[in-house]
Amino acid sequence: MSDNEETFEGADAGASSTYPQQCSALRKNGYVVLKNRPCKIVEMSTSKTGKHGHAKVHLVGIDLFTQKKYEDICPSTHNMNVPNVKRTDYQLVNITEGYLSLMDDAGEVRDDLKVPDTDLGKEIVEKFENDESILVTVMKAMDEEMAVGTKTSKD
Amino acid sequence: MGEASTHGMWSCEEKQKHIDILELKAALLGIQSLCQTMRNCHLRIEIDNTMAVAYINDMGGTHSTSYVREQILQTVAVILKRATLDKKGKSCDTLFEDVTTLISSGNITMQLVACSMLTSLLNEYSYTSRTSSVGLTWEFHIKCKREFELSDLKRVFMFSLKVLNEIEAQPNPLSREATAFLNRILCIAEQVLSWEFTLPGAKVHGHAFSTNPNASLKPPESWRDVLLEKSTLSLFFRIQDAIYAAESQYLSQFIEGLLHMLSQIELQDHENFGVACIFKNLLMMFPVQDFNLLDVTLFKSFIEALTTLTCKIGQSAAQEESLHKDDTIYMESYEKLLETWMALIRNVDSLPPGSLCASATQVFNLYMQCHLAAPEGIRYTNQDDNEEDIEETEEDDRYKFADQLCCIGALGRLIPQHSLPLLSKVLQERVAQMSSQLQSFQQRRELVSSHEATMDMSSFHALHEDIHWIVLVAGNLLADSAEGETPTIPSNLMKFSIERAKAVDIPLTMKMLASPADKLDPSLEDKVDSVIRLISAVFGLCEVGNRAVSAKLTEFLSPQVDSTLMWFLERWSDAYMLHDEMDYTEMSLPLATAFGLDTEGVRWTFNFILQKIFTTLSVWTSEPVLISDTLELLTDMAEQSSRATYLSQSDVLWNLARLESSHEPPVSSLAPEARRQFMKAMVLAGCGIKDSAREEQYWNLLLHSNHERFRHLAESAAFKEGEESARQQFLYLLESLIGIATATQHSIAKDMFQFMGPILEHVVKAIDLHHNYADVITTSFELFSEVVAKMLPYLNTADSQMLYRLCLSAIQMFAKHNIGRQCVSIEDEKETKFKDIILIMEMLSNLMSKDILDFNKEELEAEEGGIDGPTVVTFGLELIVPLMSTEMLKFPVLCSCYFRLVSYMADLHSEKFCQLPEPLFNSIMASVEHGFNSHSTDTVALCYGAVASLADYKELQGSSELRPLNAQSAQRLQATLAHFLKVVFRMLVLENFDLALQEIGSTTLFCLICCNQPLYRDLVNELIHSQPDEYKQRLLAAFNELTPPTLNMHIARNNKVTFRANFDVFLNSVRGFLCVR
Repeated sequence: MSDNEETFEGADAGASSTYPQQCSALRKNGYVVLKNRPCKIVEMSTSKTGKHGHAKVHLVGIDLFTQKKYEDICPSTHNMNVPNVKRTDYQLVNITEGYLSLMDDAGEVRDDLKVPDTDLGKEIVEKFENDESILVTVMKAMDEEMAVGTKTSKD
Repeated sequence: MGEASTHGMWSCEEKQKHIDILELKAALLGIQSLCQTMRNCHLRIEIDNTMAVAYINDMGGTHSTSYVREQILQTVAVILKRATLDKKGKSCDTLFEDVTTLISSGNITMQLVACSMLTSLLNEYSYTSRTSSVGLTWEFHIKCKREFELSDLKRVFMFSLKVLNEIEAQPNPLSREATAFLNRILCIAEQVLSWEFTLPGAKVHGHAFSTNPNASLKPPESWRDVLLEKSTLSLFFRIQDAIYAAESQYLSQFIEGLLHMLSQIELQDHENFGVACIFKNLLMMFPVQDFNLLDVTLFKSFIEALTTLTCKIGQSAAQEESLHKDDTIYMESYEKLLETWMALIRNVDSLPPGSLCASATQVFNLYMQCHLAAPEGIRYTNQDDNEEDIEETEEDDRYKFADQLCCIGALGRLIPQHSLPLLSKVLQERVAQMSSQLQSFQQRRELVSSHEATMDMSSFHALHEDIHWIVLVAGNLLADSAEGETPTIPSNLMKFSIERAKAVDIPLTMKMLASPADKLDPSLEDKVDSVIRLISAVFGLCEVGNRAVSAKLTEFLSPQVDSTLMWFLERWSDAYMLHDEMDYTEMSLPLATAFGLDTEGVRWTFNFILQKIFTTLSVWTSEPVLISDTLELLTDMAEQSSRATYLSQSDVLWNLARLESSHEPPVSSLAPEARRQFMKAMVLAGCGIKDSAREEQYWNLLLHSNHERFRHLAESAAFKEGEESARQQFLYLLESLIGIATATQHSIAKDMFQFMGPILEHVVKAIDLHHNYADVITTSFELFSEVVAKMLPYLNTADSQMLYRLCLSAIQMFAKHNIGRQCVSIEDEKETKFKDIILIMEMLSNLMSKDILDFNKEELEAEEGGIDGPTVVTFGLELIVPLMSTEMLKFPVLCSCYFRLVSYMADLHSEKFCQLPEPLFNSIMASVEHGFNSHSTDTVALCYGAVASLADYKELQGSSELRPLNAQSAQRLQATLAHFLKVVFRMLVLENFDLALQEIGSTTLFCLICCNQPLYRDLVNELIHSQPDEYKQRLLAAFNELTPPTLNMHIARNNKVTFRANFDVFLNSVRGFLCVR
């Protein structure tokens, strides 16, 4: 996982990869950019300064890629950036030297993604070695990509 | 076998008196288990009382630690109890002698041992959860308890009284040891006083080992604090003297004693609570008539004492609150006292008229003072409070202090001539202050262009806080909370308004109402209706807020105050707006003119409130709580058809609809949850439109634009490519649709489905397209579930078919992407993870409701190839059951959802259910068996229901107007039911189950027996065989009574009822010896 971080740390959170939204319109289980990292909102609560004060939103997010926890608090009138998150299913074709070979619906093959350093990664390898035919779900947000799930493909 | 080993145990214990705690404990357990194994031998405890007591005398407490001591004493108590029914009139005499010796020994340790002894005795005999489990039958426990009540309970009590007397004779102050001792003795006395006597002939299995908090003597536990006080001891004794005297005489003696005590001593902090409880219990336990019989002066001084105490404690409570103390003893005491007042107010008619007025005024005034800032009030303001962060979890004052406020409101209604003008005055003053403050803010802002000028907000916050409380009290005074019955104008206020009506100038009153911002000339105050004046003062507050908004001063306003205002308007309008004159014997003319049906006043008021709602929505979108309260008010006004009619005549509503149509702020920028609420309210309001042309126009504005937006989005490239922002828009639209679905009623169901149907087609596609995004999936299924629940019952066959088809394809889409699903989820194993499954199950359950609730009775044979509910549900089950696991059933919501679905299916579509594929059927039945172990009675009841339905179905198969099952399914069903007969039989006869389940449980048992009588006979024989001889006969007799030859073993309503009654008797007679603790 730390590999990921090093590789992509400097990546620019380009304008197209996020869009602004008013804080009060965010929702739990939605996405938000916290400390320049794409996060899933796992906790969202409001508070106010003093009984007659105005609402502030307290956000706790978990980094989509590193699972690190980030927090932020801001007035609910402010705008926050929301990352564009995309999930794509690929057919797993091969695994070479720790990299996945993945084929999309159009038949294009890419092999630039690492086998993730997680339980899921082990599972992918295991299933691949057992000759199971599987789909790998890849999540992309703010120019970072990672395999996040598998499914038995249905052919 | 008994004797040797018993002796062994004892000597063992004696020898080991210096040894390890653990070993002693082991010995204790040995004895306890011994008791268990020998449950049916005639155990003669040779080492009886004398032995036990000698043991205490020898070594009690001298060497052993207190824990060991307690354990040993408990053992002794158990042994004594075992011997209770054996002894021949010997009882615990020796024990008491020994205890007396111990106590008189003067050695504090010995005295404490004696107390422990008594406590363990009480515990063991009490037949509550405190009783230790030693493997005796329930019957035995009860007999012992009865025996103990007859002989020894009173002795224990008299004994403790004697000791108390002795202690009282000791010189003051008591030593520390003596106080500890006193405390223990008082505990014993308390336990005796709260003893729950066994009633002759009462059902014994009812409250097995549960502690009933409402013991028959009802001496409150809270006395303990008070009793500790030396001077209250005398009171305690007086109670005893009087306990058998006539009730009212007892009451007056009690009150005299109480007042005397209060006048004598200065109450300490913790004693306040005890005294408050005494007052409350007095009012709770004695009928008000008894108070009427009291001497007039005594009653008066009683009320006075209560008033003084309430005021004093109320003040301390307010102080405590402002200091944020953790210990809220004063607040609790205050609440107890207010409950006392509530009890008095409820019966105010049977008290001498006016007897509470002076007190009510005092308490009401003090409450207001405590919540207003200086100079008029005494509220303590903490500067830090304005800086402190308040979490949303913090309960709003209106809920947190609901009981208090309700009582203060009720007190205020006793004295409307005082409370109404007072509230109007303080509110108007503060609103005027706020208005001028806001103006000065504005001027200053114009002078200093930047925001640098610091404005003193603290005094402004104090003003907000004052207003907040005044509105809370006003709301509670003017109306009751709307839960339950139809809210009405409180009779006291109505009476008051009628009484004053003669002096009231109605046009002037209306003018005041219609110009909320204007100040009323004080000389005219007597000429307007007081109730309306208070309402008008609140409207004045609304108006000042509106003006501040248009002057762009929103930042100075308090969302909290507006929230409270919304609450007030909802509560108040429920009772007053469009009140039904039929609900009242007399009607006040001013109130009827202002808020009655078809009046200028009510039209104006509707418009005014809507305008307030509109303003709030446009500037406060960032305040979720306030927006939610505001939309709740809107929904509330739209929900009732008579009010919806007025609502739909208001321009403001049309304005909102137009904004919705063009998708402009504020309605387009509401937060997602608010969006849902908003659409719900708008649809409800639309149902109130009478004119059909206008109605069409309205629906066009509201729905057409949404439809267009939806279609546009669903067909856009951005959405198909899965762009995040498009997906967010989609979710936002789904929220609107869910809102629309929830508001759907019979009258509009058909039209709404015409609108919804095509959209759902798109939603199905979206489930396919965005299957990787949990939020899209869950929100989509939420919509499906809602549509099915609200619309399906009203749809005709063709539309229902369409909806079934849509649901089926939605599930198919879900299945397509979820078979073999395994996903790394960021959250831990939480229920949210399974939200999609929960929602699908909910939808399936709702689908079946069409078979129960069908409002569209249109007989039309389903054509060939048509889809029906059960087909969809079967398909859904095939998908869901493999995704379930026992781990998942630990989540309560998921669990109840699943079993509801299963039991509906078994009940409504037994045939389909029995024909489910083998593995699916088996895993469902396994899950049902698992469900019986659930802690939730609801779940267990659903499981019983499912099994009973299957048995029902099986029986019907026998009598067969039904299509017969194929041989394989029939055999499978038979085997399953046989298995469940064993399970249910064991559970109901041998185990301690929740009595709430007795009815459904016994019905199920009956159904199962009917299906499988030979097996039942086997089970019964087996059980009788396993019992000791002395019980065999009784058990046999009980079983014969349970299913007498007269009972027809056929599943029919009357047979079920008979069996249920028989089963009740059966349990009563056999559980005593079958169940063991």
